[in-house]
Amino acid sequence: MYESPYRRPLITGDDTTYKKISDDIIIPVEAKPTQWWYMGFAISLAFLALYVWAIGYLLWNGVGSWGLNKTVDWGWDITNFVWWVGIGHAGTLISAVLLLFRQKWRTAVNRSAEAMTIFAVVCAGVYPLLHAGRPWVIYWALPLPNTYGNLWANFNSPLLWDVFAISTYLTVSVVFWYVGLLPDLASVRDRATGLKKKMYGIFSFGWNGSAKAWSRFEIVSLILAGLATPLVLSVHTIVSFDFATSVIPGWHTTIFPPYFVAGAVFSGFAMVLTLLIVARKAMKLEDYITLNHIDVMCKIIMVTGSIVGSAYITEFFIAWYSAVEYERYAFVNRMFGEYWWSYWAMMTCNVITPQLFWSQKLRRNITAVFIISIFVNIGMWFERFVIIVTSLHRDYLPSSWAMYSPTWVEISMYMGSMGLFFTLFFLFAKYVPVIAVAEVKSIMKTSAEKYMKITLEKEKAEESAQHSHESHHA
Amino acid sequence: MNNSERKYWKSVDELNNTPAFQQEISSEFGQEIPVDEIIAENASVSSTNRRDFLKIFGFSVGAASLAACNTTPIKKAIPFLNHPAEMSPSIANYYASTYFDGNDFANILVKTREGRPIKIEANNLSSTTGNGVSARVSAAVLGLYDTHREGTKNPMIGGKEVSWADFDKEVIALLNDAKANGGATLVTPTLISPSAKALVQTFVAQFGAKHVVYDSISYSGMLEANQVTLGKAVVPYYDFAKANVIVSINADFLGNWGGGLMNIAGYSSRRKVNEEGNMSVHYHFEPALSLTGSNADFRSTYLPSNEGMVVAQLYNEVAKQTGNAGAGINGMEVAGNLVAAAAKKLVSAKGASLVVCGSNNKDIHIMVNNINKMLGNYGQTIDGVNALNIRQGNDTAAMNALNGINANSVVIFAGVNPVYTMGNGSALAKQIQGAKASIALVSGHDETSSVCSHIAAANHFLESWGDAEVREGSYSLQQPSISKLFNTRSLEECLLAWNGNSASHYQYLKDFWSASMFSKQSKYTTTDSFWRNSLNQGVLELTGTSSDNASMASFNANNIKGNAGGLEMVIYQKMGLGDGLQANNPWLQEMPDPLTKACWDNYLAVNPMYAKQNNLTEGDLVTVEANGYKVTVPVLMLPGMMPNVVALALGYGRTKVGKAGLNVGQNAYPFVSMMNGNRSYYVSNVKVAATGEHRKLAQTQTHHTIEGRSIVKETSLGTYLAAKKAGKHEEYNLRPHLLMKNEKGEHVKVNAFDETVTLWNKRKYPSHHWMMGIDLNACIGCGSCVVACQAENNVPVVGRQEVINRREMHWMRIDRYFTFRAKDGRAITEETEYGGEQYNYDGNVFREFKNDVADFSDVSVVYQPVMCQQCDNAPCETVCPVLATVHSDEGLNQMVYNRCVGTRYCANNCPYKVRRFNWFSYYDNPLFSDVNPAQTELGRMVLNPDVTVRARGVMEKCTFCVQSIQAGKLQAKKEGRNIKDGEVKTACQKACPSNAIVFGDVNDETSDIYKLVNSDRAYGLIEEIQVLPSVQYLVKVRNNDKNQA
Repeated sequence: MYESPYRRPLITGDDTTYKKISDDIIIPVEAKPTQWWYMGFAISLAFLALYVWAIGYLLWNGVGSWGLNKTVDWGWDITNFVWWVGIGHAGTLISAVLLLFRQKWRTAVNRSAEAMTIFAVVCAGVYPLLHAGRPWVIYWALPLPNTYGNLWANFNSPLLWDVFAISTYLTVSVVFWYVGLLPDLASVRDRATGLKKKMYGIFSFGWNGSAKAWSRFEIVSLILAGLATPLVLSVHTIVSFDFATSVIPGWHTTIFPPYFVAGAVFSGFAMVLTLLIVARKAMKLEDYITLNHIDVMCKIIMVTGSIVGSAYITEFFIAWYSAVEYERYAFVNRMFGEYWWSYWAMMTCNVITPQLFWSQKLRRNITAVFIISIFVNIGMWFERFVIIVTSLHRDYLPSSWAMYSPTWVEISMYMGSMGLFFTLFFLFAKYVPVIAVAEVKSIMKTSAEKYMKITLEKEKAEESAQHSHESHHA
Repeated sequence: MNNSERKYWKSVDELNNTPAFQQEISSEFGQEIPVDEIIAENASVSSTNRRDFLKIFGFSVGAASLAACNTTPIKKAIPFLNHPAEMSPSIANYYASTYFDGNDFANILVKTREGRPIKIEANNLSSTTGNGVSARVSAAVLGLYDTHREGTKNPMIGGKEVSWADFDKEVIALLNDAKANGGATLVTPTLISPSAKALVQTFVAQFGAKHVVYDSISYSGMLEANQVTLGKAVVPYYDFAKANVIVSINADFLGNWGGGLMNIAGYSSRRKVNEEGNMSVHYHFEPALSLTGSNADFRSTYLPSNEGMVVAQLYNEVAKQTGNAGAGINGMEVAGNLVAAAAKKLVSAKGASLVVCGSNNKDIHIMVNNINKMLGNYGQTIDGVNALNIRQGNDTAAMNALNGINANSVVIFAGVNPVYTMGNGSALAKQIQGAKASIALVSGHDETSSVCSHIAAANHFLESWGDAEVREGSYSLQQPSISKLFNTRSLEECLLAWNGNSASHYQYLKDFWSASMFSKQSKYTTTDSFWRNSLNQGVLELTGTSSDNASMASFNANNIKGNAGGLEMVIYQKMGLGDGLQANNPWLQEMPDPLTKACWDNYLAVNPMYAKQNNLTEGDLVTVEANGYKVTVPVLMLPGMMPNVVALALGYGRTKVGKAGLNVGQNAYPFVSMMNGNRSYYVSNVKVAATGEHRKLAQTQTHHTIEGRSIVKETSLGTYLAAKKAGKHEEYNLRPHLLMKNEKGEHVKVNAFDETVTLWNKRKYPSHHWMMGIDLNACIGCGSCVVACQAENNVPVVGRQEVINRREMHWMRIDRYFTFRAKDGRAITEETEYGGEQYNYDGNVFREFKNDVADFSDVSVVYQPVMCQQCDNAPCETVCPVLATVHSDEGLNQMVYNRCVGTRYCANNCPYKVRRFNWFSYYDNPLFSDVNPAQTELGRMVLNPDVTVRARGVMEKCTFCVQSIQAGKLQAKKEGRNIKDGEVKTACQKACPSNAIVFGDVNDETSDIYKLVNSDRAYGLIEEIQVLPSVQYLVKVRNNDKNQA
């Protein structure tokens, strides 16, 4: 395929070879983890322990151990749920949509982004289960046959759609991710000895690297990408229906589906950046996750951030334009009510910070990108908090207006879900190549700095040869 | 090669076809199963030998017996050997009875199930309190099952339990000994029981004893005044139904003043706008905002010490206009010159007006009586002939008797708790401890009984016989609805025993009625039928005719002026706890105060401006000091207070009481001081000082205005009548509408509920369609319905902290909204205009005070009861993932507790926020064991067996008392008829003393509810969102047109 010589290389370094790629990416899997890894893993485990403790406390005492009340029946639980689900969206977008669009830069980030998706969905999925008053019967939300005759789930309820959306999402993501892992697991197997070889052998499903295997692999990847693509749109659309189909001012908004999807991609890319900026440094993968990758992702953040910002403004306009006093109040209350700080935190982080990425200098400044990506994560958390809590706490009847603040259980569960996420991520970084080795190799000839130079020189040589030839004839 | 002939084999054995292989494939299982061995009778053939058998046998038996060690609780349900004739399991029995605790009176029906009283309802046959019950009356049933009563299960002498025989022997000896020292002293609250009074007389005569009537709340100033003007020391009967003009000077007659409950029905019957557009007009003057004041058409405030001057002003105005001599002193006009306006209105309604006063000052009451006399109200709206028998305690006499307790005294306290309710309680406690003997008739220890030497374990009133004559000629009977839970006795039983009368109380009462009451009536010819019918009906009304028996009297003008000076404090009773007798009742503790919506505490109510000037915010702990007594209480900002007046409620700060009421709030009784020989319920020169500390207030509502939303629709009588006459209903009741194009392309107004507009299919209710209507004109906001609902539906009590967490479980609430008046006269309902509230997670405060509000003491109050609105298009139903809340074909929004998984989505999506979630396991979580009666064996007896006790994690809400609907339908079906209008009543409706709630089937076009929902004043709450609520409110009409002020 023709590759423009002016494209920036996706693999840097003058000595890129297939062997080097394998070594660079697989050696961290084979070597003993660094001290940093142990330290990070220990901290994550500590938070995971907090998570388990908080969940135990919650299950023992009841949802009353959270700070919710008669007016605000969802708080940090659903905020965190939506936040985690949203984060997952970048992974799917990178691995599915960008695959279909044949974006080569995705090869360096799709593995870890997808892993992030799965771990985020796991963290998210815990909330709908545990927010229920009686989690031990939450399976009633599934349309299972039962002894009550035709007692069925309520297909009108967006919560039920959530059940389907999230479970489908998790399943497809896991399958897609694992299928992508197969050739790399086989590479690890081929380099390993003893038990390790056996284990990786089992997990690589007997991958033999034959042309047939590669051909099937490509086909399956495409099929799964095709399946996953609608999920990028549908999952967060359905999550947004939880709010959009209600009657509560501030929730009852038709703009929610696109706004939520954009927000999800926005926050997802921010999380990918947060993770990879650390990972590329820690695992010395700067040659594979280059400034060019970061630059591209920053652009996506800027675009989706602008969509989200426009959505915020549109909401306000419609609230005013509708002339519905409850709607108007809900939005004024967001800005100037008791939770004004969460609104302005959201606006600052989500609307202003991504606009900084118009500057290429900032997009290619690792520190700046890292800080902004954290800001976006915070902003998107506040977005969900604003939507859920500020809409509920002052709805129709002022007599029921109330305030909500989380208890230590909710805070611990949130911190703890980070613990779960990072525990899984640390395990992932240790036991699985964090970059899709095979896929990166597939773009080496076209996008590695070394080969691009060779190509360029060759072309130049050809060009000058042709030029002299032509001039000769003239 | 021919492929079809190709042979494959699976193993070498198969290829070789060895005999071993042959055998192997013939058997299903690889190894032979020793069937013969297993079924062999001869055990020796089996490979299981004796030793193995014994091992296995031993293990099995051992394991089984170990497992059996874990005892599963066995609950025995023993059927009746002899089935009581009147009792069918699952069918409720109702017994007519009487409630009187010295403070509140009500004619009641006691609902019992399987022999357990579970609810108290109104006895509709009564003309005094037949319309409903108060919260305290409803809640009294819980007192029966109070575990605190277990502390006084048996009579006790010096802390040791004894038999009644021994107890009586010692008491009689003590009483006889006391004769020499001037006799024993029997202290009771006002007795309204004719039979008990007769027993007391015998007792007094027999033992040379003294009977002292001591009421926790004193009316003795009024009694003394009536002694002068009516010739008898009584509280007259006020007929609010006959009054076109009502002027109240600090008389909380809908709350705790006078007959309380007795006044509500009459009052609210005239507050409803009838066909002719008539309604009474109510002027109210008071220093602190009261329930009654909040319902007035015109209200103004004054300093408590100026009360006499305000009355004098009214006196002078009325005298001038009726041609009488003035009061002889200069009066004082209140803000808005309302006294003059009220006087004018009073004179225009001579004989149909009423002036009431809440003062306890004899001379002020004589002035009030003179005003009523000038207005010709005696014999019309005031019945001084058939007066009330309540509140007969004379302060001077009572104080002298109690302060005179000394080392030689033998004193009996029955139904009173003076150590708590008297100002100098601690001194009295020492005197009692020093007395020769002190006998307390008490049900569960209180402050007084815990310093007494003898404890006579008392009944609960639901275990006792008794009678009452609350008003001259208005008799009622009290009958037990359960046999005694403990070894206890009523006062009458004690007196019978001590008087040496061997008759049972029942026999005594029956004989007494046959002897004294039978002759007063002519309806029944035999004493037996008289007794049976009276008992069945509970009431015997023989009230005579009224006449003007009052005379003008002179008064001492020097006593009119109060002790002025400094900050003045009003000491009042709350609707929940009243005088504090029922402080251990968690239902009452958790009942939100109608005005402040606070529970589980008393607090210093102050005007928001006062708070601002003194740098106080809501919940700041302050010390309040006066009369040498000091308490530390939180501050609560209450508009409607006079700016330099604060208010503190009685009934709190109990120190010897069960777990629920222990140390809740602070005791305000010591602030009550004697003034001109009577107890005075205000103090001057109060010092309030901030402590710098903070205490969260438990309030169920923290936002106090409607934010300009049309949640409560309100109009004035003049506007209403004019617009109604002109057919312009939208002027007072604008319903949602849309502009739509008709066929000609013109825009026309279309009702928003028209079927052509909505996307939803209208639901069909072929059999019944239950709806509820609430007349906002009639509702006075008293909160009786809230407690009745709690009793009927087993609503859990959650305690102070959970109310602070905004998780009270009440299925219905009464929203209370304030409207302020701007300087330019506009009504202000938005927080951006008045200052609003601010949360610091500790509570809420009025933030900054905008100058727009003219005066925070000038406030208008509305009440709006809100329960599940049973929407036709219920937002909760569509969002539940498991169909735990579904619509019935009778218009009910049903909640299926068993199916609920607790996502709380329904509660979020409820526009009325009426759904309540079981955040904890309230019935067994130790966090709630102090407050939740359902956690003890005894307390559980109050639960209504028709209503599930909800588990943790389950949503609940009002069901329109579906259990009553089902019972009503079943009854009608059994009798083969249609259900009658008014046959099915919800708990709130039955409890409502002002008949504000109407419930019924709108498919029945003759029903009251059909008329109500089709009224021009009917509207649904936030109906513009098309949820089609089944509860309709009637627009509130105030009789406050400008020309009357």
